[in-house]
Amino acid sequence: MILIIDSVVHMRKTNNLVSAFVALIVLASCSSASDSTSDPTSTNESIIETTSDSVVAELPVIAVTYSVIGDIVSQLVGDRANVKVVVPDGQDPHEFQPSAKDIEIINNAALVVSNGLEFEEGLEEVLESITDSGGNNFMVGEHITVRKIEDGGEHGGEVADDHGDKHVGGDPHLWLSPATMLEMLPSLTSALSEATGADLSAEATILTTKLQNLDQEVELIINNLGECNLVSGHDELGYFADQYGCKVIGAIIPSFTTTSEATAGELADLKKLIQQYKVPAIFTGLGTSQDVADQLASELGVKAVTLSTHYLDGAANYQEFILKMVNQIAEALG
Amino acid sequence: MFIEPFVDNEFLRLALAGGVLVALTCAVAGTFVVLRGLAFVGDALAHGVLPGIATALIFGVSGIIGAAFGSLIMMAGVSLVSRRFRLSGDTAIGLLFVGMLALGVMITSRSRTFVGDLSRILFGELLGVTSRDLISQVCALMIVIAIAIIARRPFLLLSVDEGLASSSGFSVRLFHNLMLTMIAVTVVASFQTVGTLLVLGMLIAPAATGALFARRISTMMIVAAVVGSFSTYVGLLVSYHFDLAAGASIVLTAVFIFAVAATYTEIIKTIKTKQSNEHEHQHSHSGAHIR
Repeated sequence: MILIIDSVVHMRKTNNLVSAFVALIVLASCSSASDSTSDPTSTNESIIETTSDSVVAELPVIAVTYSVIGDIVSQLVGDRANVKVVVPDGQDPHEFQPSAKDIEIINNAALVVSNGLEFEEGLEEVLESITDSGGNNFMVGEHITVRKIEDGGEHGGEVADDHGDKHVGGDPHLWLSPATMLEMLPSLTSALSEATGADLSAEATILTTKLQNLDQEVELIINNLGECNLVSGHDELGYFADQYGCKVIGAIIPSFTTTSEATAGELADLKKLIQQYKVPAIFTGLGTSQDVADQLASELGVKAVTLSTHYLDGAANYQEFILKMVNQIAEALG
Repeated sequence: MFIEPFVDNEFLRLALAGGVLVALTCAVAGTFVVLRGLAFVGDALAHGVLPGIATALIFGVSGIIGAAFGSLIMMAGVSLVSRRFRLSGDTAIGLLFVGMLALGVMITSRSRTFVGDLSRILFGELLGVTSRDLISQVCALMIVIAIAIIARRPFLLLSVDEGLASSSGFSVRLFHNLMLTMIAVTVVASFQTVGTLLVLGMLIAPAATGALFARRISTMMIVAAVVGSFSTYVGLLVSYHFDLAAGASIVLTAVFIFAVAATYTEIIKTIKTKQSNEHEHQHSHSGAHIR
């Protein structure tokens, strides 16, 4: 009797094990099945094929990782595509973690436009899977001259020298220089034409003119300043400074990303540099501790100015976004 | 090398002052945390305040108010769950802990402003301490010391044995909650300086070191205060000279001091028992000799 009960119990246990095992296998097969069905290229191609035949054309979706590039894409495609920005205006693209819906949008997009220089750290895996599965991912960083920090060198000496180790890879903050955007515009236009199946050359010409004007305007504003020494939250103003004759003195977080932290040694070094170059303002923004910036500014008797550099922050378009930033810089340094 | 960084930089002086105040507050509260085994509840409180802080920062209210609300909900929740549903205390704590933590992450992940930045709540902004922060830190220290003095007898009895406390006529529930409040005040006030994740280190490591050496609660607190303050100083120097995150450097120093102290006491203990063994051995030997 006891033996029977014992064996029943054992059987139950093994049954439980077996069922758990089965459940796991089912789960595993389910997830692999969903992987294959969510293959972005196949679904998209089928959508495009059916829509091109039918009269009511469904707009292709272009997923852009963040709002600044998102606006440039919007200006190029107009109403020929549905541009979806993944990281909402106002959030830190360095640290943004996607929701399931965000991943769905990226997976199902006809084209994904991303920064490509390890900028969207939270989206890295999703973007990688797009590239691995042969999907379309336009990486802006592949179509520009990437700024890299060399040992010591031109970027204000000490900070770059001592803390070069935090600067891994290339500088992703390419959008802060309109000239850099002009550089990648032709490749972006052709990628977008391909994805939407529309001729975008007229839009590209218009936008090129706009960006050229913007470029000149920024140059004029900065030239009027005389001296343009920049101290920022993290190392974000490099492209801008290189292009328009400014000098990056240092940053509170001397890193290309906001996920690093400020240290006492780096702050003390920065303090010396600010005094040495008589920099009148510290520019902070997303990902930098406002308290640390305020404290440093009050200790030095300089201004701490909040600058929007990573998202449109309500600006109507890219041009306005850049002008607002440049005017803020000019006002603080002038 | 050891002093100039603080002479030259106001932000380091403020960080040192803020850190020492945290160390003192944590020495008092932490001693009871260690004696009464409340480390898990302390951890839970430290994380439970997260959604409160995040919400407060998003709405532009002082983070301390949000943190206070968070810890209140946490404490009320723990006592409700453990009382009503016959679940053990640590299950209740664990439930609320992860619940509040997840809520905090959810709120910060969808906030449209950068002020609700998660990592800054978790790791603090020791290098951005202002004189205003110091004032609230001093207030917290006063409150914690006041609670510890007023309730020193029941706290002592509670730390030894709950039964002893209730047979001496103290309400276990009341003073347990008061002790939690004391820990909550410490956590809430310290989040600005070392962050909610690292405050636990300051709560436990120095007090545990104190418990190694001292038998009296007051001595334990003094040892903890000295260890905590010294860790703050060393941690800031490490952060200065080796470019490492300040809060983490301080907590790691405190844990390291505990490890060194624990090794030291172990060695002393072994030597002592050896000596006493030898002593006894000699005794019996000489006794035999006489015989």
